Amino acid sequence: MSFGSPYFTLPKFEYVKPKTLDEALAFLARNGEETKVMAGGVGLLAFMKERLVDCRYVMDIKGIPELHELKYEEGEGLSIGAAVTLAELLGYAVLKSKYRALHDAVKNLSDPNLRNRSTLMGDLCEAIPWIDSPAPLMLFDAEVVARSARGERKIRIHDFIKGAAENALRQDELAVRIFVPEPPPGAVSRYVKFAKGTEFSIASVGALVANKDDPSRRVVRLTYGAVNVVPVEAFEAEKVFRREGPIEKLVEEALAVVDGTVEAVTDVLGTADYRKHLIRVQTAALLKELLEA
Amino acid sequence: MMAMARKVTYTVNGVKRSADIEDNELLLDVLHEKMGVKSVKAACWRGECGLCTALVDGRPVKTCLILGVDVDGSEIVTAEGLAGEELLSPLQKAFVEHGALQCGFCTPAFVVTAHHLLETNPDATEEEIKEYLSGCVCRCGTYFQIVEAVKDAAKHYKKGKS
Repeated sequence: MSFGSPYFTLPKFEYVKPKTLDEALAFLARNGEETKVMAGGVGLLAFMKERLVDCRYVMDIKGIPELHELKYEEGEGLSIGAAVTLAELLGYAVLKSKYRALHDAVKNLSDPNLRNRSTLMGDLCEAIPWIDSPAPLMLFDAEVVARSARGERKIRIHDFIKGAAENALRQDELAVRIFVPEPPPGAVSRYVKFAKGTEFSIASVGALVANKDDPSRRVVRLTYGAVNVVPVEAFEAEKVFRREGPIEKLVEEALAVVDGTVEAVTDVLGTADYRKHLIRVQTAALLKELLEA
Repeated sequence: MMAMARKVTYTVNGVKRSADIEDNELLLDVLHEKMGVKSVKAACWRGECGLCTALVDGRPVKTCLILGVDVDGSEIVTAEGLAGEELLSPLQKAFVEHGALQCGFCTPAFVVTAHHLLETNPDATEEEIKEYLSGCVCRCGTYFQIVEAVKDAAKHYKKGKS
């Protein structure tokens, strides 16, 4: 059915569903420029309806068995295949026990019915400024494993998002999995997002703390999504916590550094000042929670 | 580019159904227009309202964001298929008894989603019910009654399949 509006229909394309990774990579080597990769499709099809994305081929990667792999190895880390749904991820116990910030993000990403289709890799590859996945993944120094007929390369999550709706993948590359290394021993983490009656996050904050009582080994990581076009980690603010001194004072200082170094944008969802206020308040709350844990 | 028609076959509410469709046709349209399944509703078309929800291979999903070709061979259950030989399932009866609808447009989506919840977690708390149904929108605002109906119907799922 169509009422003449692009929102109701999809443009024409050809659907391809490779059964092996090699088949998919060979297809991308030939047709990468004209192909959009689809896993759950909830993002891609919505964009296509709005005619923001057009392509000759839609390549469905759900037929490739290894992309459904979800596995955790003690001491190594968590590997999340590109076709693993958010519902599958949320049902994986180690996510909450080891990677709490990522669990927080997935649990609040879209809704249960959409999570039965959508994937973490899909969220990440969309690379639009308000997505949830980068801030928690940066806390754990995750990387995207990209494959092409030419070989494999690992892209640090911090370098993966290049701009609004722009990721680091080349046209012949397929992002096959996200690897999330084992967190530092004893690490605790949280993630929180602000979204006012909409799925669009206005600002999101991730925090990770380990070895809080020993300044020489203390690790504090602070990451921010939706505050600017690309997500950022506040490396300068994190350095403050390697110093000696009462922790309350270090928190104060770090908040001032966050304020001075994390740049915010003004757009239809909120002003830069509003975003700065949100991340200041929430960084303070998360640090208080994690440093008292 | 050649827009070629493909034949897809689903098992819809226990009955094998086939249709010739194009690659860019949505599951929602295939069900609604080509297979006559009228309980899946077209409303927002962008995955926000959830009224096109159906159970595909056992899980509630939004059919406006799924390609018809993508789910070829799947088992699909919609509100029409919940009651079997009966007119209404116990969950559907609970919706009626609690007045959990006004215009009724969203009811099929809420019913199939709640059905899946109670099948997998018949002891769901009120919080869990609200969270699980958060992907569907009721413009008439009968959320309170919907949650009451789902809580009430849970007993039928504890005894065994409804």
